[in-house]
Amino acid sequence: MLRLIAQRLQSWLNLPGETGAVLPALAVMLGAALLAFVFIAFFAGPVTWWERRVAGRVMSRIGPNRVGPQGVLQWLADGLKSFLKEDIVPAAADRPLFLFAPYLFFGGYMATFVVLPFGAHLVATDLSVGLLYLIAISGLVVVGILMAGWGSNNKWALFGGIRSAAQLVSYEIPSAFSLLAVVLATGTLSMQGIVRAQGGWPWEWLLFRNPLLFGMFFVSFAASLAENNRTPFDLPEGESELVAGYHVEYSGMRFLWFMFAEWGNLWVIASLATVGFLGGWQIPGVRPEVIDQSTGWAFAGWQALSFLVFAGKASMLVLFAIQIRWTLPRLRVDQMMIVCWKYLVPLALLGSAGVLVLVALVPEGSPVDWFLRAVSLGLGLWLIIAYVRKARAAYLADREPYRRLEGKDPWYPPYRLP
Amino acid sequence: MPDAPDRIEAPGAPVCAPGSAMPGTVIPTTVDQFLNWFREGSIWYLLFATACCGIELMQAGGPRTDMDRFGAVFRTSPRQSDLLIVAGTITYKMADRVRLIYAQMAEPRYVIAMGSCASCGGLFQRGYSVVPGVDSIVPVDLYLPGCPPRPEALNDAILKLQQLIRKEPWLRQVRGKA
Amino acid sequence: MTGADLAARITAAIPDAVVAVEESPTDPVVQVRPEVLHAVAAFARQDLGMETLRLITAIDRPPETIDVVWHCLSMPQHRTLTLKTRLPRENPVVATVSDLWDAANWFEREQFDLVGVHFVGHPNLKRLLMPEDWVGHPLRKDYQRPEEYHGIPTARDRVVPVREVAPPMHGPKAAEQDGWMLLNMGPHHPATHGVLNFLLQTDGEIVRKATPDVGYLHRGIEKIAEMNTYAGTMPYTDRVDYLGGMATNQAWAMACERLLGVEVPRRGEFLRVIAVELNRIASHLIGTGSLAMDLGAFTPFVHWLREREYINDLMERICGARLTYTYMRIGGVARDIDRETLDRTLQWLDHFEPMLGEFDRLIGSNEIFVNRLANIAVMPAEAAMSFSLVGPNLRGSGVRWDLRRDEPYSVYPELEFDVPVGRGFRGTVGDAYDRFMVRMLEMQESARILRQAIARIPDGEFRAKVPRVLKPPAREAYGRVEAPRGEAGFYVVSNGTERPERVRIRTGCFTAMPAIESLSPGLMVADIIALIGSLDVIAPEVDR
Repeated sequence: MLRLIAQRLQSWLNLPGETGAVLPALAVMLGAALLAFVFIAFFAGPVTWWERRVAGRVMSRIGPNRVGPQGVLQWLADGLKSFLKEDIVPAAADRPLFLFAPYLFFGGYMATFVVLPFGAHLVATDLSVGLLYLIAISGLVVVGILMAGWGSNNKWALFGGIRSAAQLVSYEIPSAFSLLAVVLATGTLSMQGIVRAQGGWPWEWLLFRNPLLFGMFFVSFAASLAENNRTPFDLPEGESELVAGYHVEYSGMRFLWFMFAEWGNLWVIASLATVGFLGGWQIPGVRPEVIDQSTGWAFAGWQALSFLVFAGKASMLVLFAIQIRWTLPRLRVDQMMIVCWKYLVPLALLGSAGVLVLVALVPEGSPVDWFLRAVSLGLGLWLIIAYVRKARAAYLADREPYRRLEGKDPWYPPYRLP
Repeated sequence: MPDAPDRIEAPGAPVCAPGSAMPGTVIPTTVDQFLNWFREGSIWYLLFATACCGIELMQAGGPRTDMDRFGAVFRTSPRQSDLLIVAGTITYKMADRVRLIYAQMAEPRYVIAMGSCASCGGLFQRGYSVVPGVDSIVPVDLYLPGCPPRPEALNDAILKLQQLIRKEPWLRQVRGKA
Repeated sequence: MTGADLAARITAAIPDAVVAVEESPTDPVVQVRPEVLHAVAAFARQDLGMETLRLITAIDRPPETIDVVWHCLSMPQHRTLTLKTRLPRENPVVATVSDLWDAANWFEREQFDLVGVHFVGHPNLKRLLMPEDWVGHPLRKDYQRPEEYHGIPTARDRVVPVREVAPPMHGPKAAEQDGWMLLNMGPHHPATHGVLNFLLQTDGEIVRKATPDVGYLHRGIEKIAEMNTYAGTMPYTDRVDYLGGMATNQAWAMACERLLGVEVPRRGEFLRVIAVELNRIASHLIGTGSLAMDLGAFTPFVHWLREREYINDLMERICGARLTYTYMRIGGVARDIDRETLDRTLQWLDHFEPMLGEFDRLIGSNEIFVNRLANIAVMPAEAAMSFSLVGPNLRGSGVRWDLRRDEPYSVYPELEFDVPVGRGFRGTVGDAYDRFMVRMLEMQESARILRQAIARIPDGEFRAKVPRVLKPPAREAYGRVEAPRGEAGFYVVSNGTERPERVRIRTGCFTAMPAIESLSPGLMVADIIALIGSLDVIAPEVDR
C-alpha cells in the first residue's frame, strides 16, 4: 500500500531514482512532521496554561491548578477533551471550506517554524530568504480565517473573518517595513545571518544599534500583536462583541486547531522579535565561531545554552504580550485602522528610510556609531527604570488600602484559595 | 445517559461480568479513567446568564471562588462549551432559544439547572410566562437549589459534575451516544 | 400646585375635560374624559411644562371599566400631574400620546400587550413582552393560563404530548434588502447583560438601526403581586432588579406605607439608607465593570467583583443574603444592624475609596477606553427627558435630577451629598463616557452618605408596629426611590382587601431601551455594545 503510494507519488512528481529511495524519504518526512508537531505542541500548549495563570495573578485569582502539579497539564486536558468532543459541521455551512480552514490556519503557523533559529544550529533550514518566506507564509493564516468566516455561514463569523482580513492585510505593511529596517541594518534575509550580525551583549543587539531601530522594535511588536489578533487588536474574535468571531461555529478538534495556532503564534511573534532585535540565541561573551568550531559534548552544550538564551528572551516577550492582553481594552475597528495607516505605516516607512541613511553614513565601530548605541541603550534603560518606578509606585499605593484593612481585621480576605 | 450495561465486552477479550478481575476488563477501565481525568479537568461552561443567578455565576468566576482552578473557563459560543449552566428563570419566549442553544452544543454535554427558577420555576411558578423547570425543555444533569445559589454552591456543583464524569464509561457509552 | 389648580387650568383651556379631581400630597390626580385625552396631554406637555412621562398604567376593573393612568412630571417645576381616564372594558380605546413623549411608545405597547388597551394612532402597536403568538392579555382579571405552550407544560404536574416539529423562533423577522444585513444580537450574547435581544440592521460595520426585542425575562411580577399579600410581595421586588434589590425593596415598602399611612422610625430610615447606599455601590461596581468587560478589558471587572464580594459579606451580616435581600419590611427593616457591622463598613470604606483611584488608573483614564466612549451615543438633555431616562443616564446628559434631592424621602434631606452630572468630561455632555463617570462619582457620593449615616444613626426602634394582616383602604399610592439605575417606583392601587388591585412597576431600564433604538443609527457594531453597557441596562428591569 505504502509502496503503491510512493510509486504514484514518484511518477506524479516526476522524481528520478528508484522507488525504494522515495519510501524512506517519505517515512522520514512523516516522522519529521510528527516530531515537529510534538515540538510545536510543547510550544503552544503550556503557554495557554501560563497565560491563564498570569491572567489569574493579574486578576487576583489563581488560575488552573488541578490537572497535574499546579495545573501544568491543563493544556493536555483541554486538548484531549477537545479531541474527544463531537465534531459539528453546521448543515448550512460551506462544507469543504469549513472543514479545510483550520488546517490552512494551522499550516500557516506551523510552516513558520521551518526558518526560526532556536539555537546556534537548531534550525530546520536556514533559507537565504528566510525572513521573506516567514512574512509570505504567515499570509496563509488570513486565507484560513477568511475561509472559516465565510464557510461557517454565520454572520458573526463573517464579521470576524472580514475584520481579520482587513486587519492582517493592513498590519502586514508596518510589520514588513519594520523588518525591512532589520534587513537594511544586517544586509541579509537569512534568519541565522540576522542573528550572527548581532552579538550577545545588549549593546550589540539591533534594538540598541541606534534610536531609530529602537523605535522600529515597538512598531514591529505592535504590528505582530495585531497580526496575531491579540488584545488590543483582538477584534476578529472579540468575545463581548462577536461572540467568538471567525471560529464561532467550530467545535471540538477543529476549534482546537485554531486555539493551538493562536497561542503558538505568540511564540512565533516573540521569536521573530528576538531574532530581529534582541540578538537571537547569541550568548553574551561567546563568539558564534567558538560554537561552530566546538565538537562533541561541548557542541551539544553550546546548543542547549544558546537555546536557553533564546527561550528566555522569547518568554519575556510572551509575558509582555500576555500582560498587555489582560490590561488593555479593545480598539474599535476604525480606530484599529487609524492606528495602522495613520501612525504605524508612516512611522515604519520613515524609520526604515532613516535606518538606511544611518547604515550608509555611519560605519560600524566609528565614534558616531558608539554614540548612537549609547543613546539608544540609555533610552532603553530610562524606559525600563521609568516603568519599574511607576509600577512600583502604583503597587505601593494600591497595597496600602489592603494593608490598612488586613492589619485591623483578620476576618478580611484576601485569603489564598487551595 | 443510558443505563450501565450489565455485561462488558472488551475487544479481543473474553466476555465477563463487571467487577471480575479478568484482564480484558481492566484495560478499558483504565483508559476511561485516564480520559475522564482529563475530561473532568476541562469543563468549559457557556456564559449564559438569564437572571439573578447570572450575577452569582459571574461571582463564581471571580477572585474568591475561582472556577478556573478546576479548569472551568467560560466560552461564549455554545459550540465550544461542555456545560450549560441555566442560571435563572426561563420564560416561554426564551424556552425555544434554550433548546436551540442546547442543540448547538457538541456531545458530550452537560446541563446544570442553577437556582430554583431553573429547577422548578421557583418563586415564579405562579407567573403566567415562566417555564416551571428547565427540565421540560432540556435534560438536566444536576439541580442546584438556592435563590440564588452561592458561588460556593456552584463550585460544589462543578465538583459533583466532575464526579459524574469520572464514573462515565466513556469509551463504551458516551462515544456511542455521540 | 394642587390638583384643583391643575384642573382649573386644564378646564380653562379645554372646557368639560375634567370629570373629577383627587387631591394627594405627592401625585394629584385629574380624571378626564377619554375623548379629550390627547388634547389634555398636549396641553400638559406644552403649557404645563410636563416634559417627562413617568408611567402609563392600565387597570382592569371588571366588570365594567378599564382605567388608564398617565403619570407626568415636570422636572424644573418639581410638579407632577396624574391624568386618569375610564374606558369601557368591552372596547378600551384611547388616543396615543406617543407623538408627545417618546417614552409613551413602549409604555403603550406594554399596556396593549398585557391589558389589551388599544391606543389609536400608535405607530407600531404590537406585543412587547409576550411572544407574538400568545393568546390573551395576562393582566386582565379573567385571564386563564394556557395548558401548554409550544409543547412545554405550564405546570410541573401536567404532561403534554411531545411535538415532532420544532416550533418557530420568536423575534421579528425581516428580509435582507439592498445591501444591508440583519444581525440578531441576543438574547444569548455576552454583551447584552442577560437576555436582551437587538436586531441590528447593519451596513458592514455601520449600524443603520438597532431594534430592541424584549420580554425574554418577563416573569409577570405585576400579576403575581396581585395574587400576593402586601408583605408577601417583598421577595419579588428583589428580583425586579437583582443588582439593586434594596432600592426596589424600599420603593415597595414606601408605596405600602403611603397606602397604610405608616410612619417609619428614624433608626429604621437610617438603616434603610445604609443598606441602599451599600447596594448602590455594589450595583455601580457591576455596571462600570461590565462596561469595561464589554470593551474587552476583563481585568477591571474581576477586580470589581472582588470589591463586590466585600459588600456581599457586609450584606450577609446585615440581612443574611448576598443578592436577593428582602431586608425592608413595611414600616421599617427586618432586623437591626449591630455595631460591629457598622465598624466593618467604615473599615471597608477606608479601603474602598482609594480603590476608586486604582480603578481610574486601571481603566477609567485609559486612552483606548476613553476613545471608545467619548463622543459616542450622545444623548441631549431634552431627548433624555422625553425618553424619560432616569438616574445616572439622565444625569449623564447634564440634568441634575435625583429623587433623593428633588423629591426628598427618608432621611436624605438631613444628609449632605452632591448630585454629580455629566459635564463633558472627555467629550460632549451626554456621551457614553459621561454616563460612566457619573456612576464612578456616585460611588464616591454614596461612600460619603454612608459615613454620615453611620455617624448619625440614632438609637430606638427599627420597625414600626404594623398589624399582622394589612388591609389598606381603597386608594392608590406611588412609592418611588432613586435606585442605582434610576427611579424605581411601585404604583399600587388597593381595593380594601388583603391583596392589591393592581401593581405597576416603574424601572429605569425600561425607558432606556427605546433610547437605544433612537441613538443607534450611524454607530458601529462595537459602539452599540458600548452604548448598552454605558446605559447599564439589565434584563429583569426591562421585562420585570
